[in-house]
Amino acid sequence: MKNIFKLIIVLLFSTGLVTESKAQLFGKTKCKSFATTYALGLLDTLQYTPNGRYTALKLYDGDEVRMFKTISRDLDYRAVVALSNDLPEKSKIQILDFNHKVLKTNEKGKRSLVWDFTSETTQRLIIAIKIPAHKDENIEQTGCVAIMFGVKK
Amino acid sequence: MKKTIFRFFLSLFVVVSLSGCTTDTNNSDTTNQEVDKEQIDLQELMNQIKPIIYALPSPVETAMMFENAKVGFNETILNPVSNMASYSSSHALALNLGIYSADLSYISLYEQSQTAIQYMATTKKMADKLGILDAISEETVKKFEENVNNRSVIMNTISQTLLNTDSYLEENYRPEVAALTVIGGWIEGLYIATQLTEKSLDSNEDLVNIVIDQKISLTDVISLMAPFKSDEMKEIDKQLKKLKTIYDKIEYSTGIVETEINSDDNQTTLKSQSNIKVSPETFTELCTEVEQIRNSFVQMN
Repeated sequence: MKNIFKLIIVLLFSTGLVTESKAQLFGKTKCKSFATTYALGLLDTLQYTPNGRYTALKLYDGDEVRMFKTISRDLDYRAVVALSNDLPEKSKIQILDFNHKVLKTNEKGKRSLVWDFTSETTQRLIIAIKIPAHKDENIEQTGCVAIMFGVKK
Repeated sequence: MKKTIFRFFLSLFVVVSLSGCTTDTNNSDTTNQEVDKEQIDLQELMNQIKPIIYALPSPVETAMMFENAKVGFNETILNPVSNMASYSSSHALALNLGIYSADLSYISLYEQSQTAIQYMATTKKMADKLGILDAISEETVKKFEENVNNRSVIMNTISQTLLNTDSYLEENYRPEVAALTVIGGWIEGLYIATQLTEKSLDSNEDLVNIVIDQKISLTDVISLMAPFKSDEMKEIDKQLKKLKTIYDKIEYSTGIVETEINSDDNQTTLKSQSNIKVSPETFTELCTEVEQIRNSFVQMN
């Protein structure tokens, strides 16, 4: 049922019948607020200057997201990937190198990952987020994900 | 189950309501559909480019790279604030907003308070001209001026203005302006680096690395241009692809990444080596091409 609902919404978008509903706009605003308050707090702006860009997305259970980030050599970075509490506790956050080697994973039961690192070379990292599907397909879980990078002052 | 069914009927209600609002005449129906289609196209474009923008190094990161490279300040390489008056098209405004933002980030590394204040004011005016409302408020400018000698506050303020601009353009579905602002900022960072090397491979090694490392980002920058079809955007795309032909002459590879964790501060070091092969001629050619692209951007009106 849940998948049928998602499919209908996608079809409505693709046929141009619906642009963004108020509910979706609310979701976007909520996720932006989550990013600029909670995730920014984890970044700790006293120690790290935010790089000036952020990602805030609304995710559903069963969703998988991959983002890329080019990191520059010899800068001291803090990466923050945060999920809101309405997403399942078993959600997985991973940071991988471009050969898909896992460099960092969130701790079991933690919905956020804060990682301080530096790289000897400029390279692209992959940020992978996997929200497990709910066992009961009639129950839908949605929440926000925020991704931010900061550079040490 | 109840919740899902409710949402399903709610979505149907939204569709029926929207349909009901557009049945007055055939003309208004067509016009509304065109507006809806345009809006959806812009949303899709924004969704397409947003992850690419996110992947690229921001002007704040570029400034920090310059700081690591311990480079000096050279005001003559900046885009003069007097050029601002000549920018009127949205393309010129967006590209040069990115350029001024990168200049501002570079200036902020040094004790150049008057220059920093001028560039902050210019950046605000450019954002205002583009209708990017409240990205840089009067309070932000005031806070900047009052703390112009406090580098930590200055960098946070610049970061906040970049974040506001990014957020405004995303929420208001202005993908072309968003893409051009990012490209302007990226090319200016590269231009500053190439100028400071004086086009020589024998220059400051860290600076040379900043220039060469942008080979990785150029692929993203070109992807950013791909969805846009206007003549102006195609011209910029052509310039960037020409730059890529020079970068393609540089051999660049990165070895296997190993992680090492410092137990004192829990910081991870990603240990790896890059293998770079570039001739002095290619490096000079690259710097000259960057100069031409950047100058074409600042001379646009």
